[in-house]
Amino acid sequence: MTSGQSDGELVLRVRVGDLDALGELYERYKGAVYRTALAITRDESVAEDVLQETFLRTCTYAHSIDENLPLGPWLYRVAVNLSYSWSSRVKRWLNVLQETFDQWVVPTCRSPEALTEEREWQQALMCAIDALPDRHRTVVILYYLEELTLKEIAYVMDLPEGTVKSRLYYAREMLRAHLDEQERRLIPEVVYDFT
Amino acid sequence: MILHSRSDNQSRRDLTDGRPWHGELDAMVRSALLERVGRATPSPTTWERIRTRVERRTVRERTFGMFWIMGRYILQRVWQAGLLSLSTYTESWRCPQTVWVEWRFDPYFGRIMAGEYGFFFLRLAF
Repeated sequence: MTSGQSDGELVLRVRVGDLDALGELYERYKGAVYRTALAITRDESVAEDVLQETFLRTCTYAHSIDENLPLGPWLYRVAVNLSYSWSSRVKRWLNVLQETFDQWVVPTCRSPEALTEEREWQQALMCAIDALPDRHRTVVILYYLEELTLKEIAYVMDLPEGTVKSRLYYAREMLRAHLDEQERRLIPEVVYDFT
Repeated sequence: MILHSRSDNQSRRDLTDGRPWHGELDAMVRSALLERVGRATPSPTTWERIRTRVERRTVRERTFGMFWIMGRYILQRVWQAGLLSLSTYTESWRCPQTVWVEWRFDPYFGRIMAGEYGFFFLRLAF
């Protein structure tokens, strides 16, 4: 049951150890935090861990959260940082395995015969999004999936707004190039022989 | 499905136009992301795990807090009784996770940092 209190009021209650208030914030934001972590890490169990850690940190650092601001961007910031930490750890230690994994995954992306056209494009696009560098992919996820503004993304990623804009622009260009290539592959060029 | 190519200026404009998604690529990106994780929900047990961890931590902090109050009382008494040649005793900062106690006895400046996981002692010479 929700109390209808604002985020700020709930944060004030969390500060004095009110677990029900933390539970209410969890209910409000669990979907968004989990989705973001899952989109970045692509691993359900890691996304669960990120979600758990994000709310533990909310409890720990409740005294330093500005209760006059919406809590969402603060939570995204923690979740993105935790997801990044996990990604960089995994990349450091499992780089070779990751490459092997990619080699297995790529062929499935390129054999879409059994899929409908829409799903085929969707899958091609997801492959393209996955192939983006982390810093670009996170911007894409926050902008398109979570519908954050450029300003909010700048806060979440601790970057100037111009940098966010530029990353989004280059991410779109990379996705467009990937899809153009996919299109060329699916619609083979017709060669007329006028002899 | 054909992606209409646009000039760079057009693409840059799209970024500031905001929502809803007018470009074909924008709509496709959003739809692909939603398809993958839009309906994803965390396990129903996650909240219980968070709750348990917070409760455990609260018990640990209360225990720590009790020892801290006792320790501070003893240290103050010892200082007041002049058993230690401390010239200054300052409880400088406190929050649920960390406590600092600072005191000064020439020529040293001492600091005890007590955290969630134990006590640390720093002695800095000036």
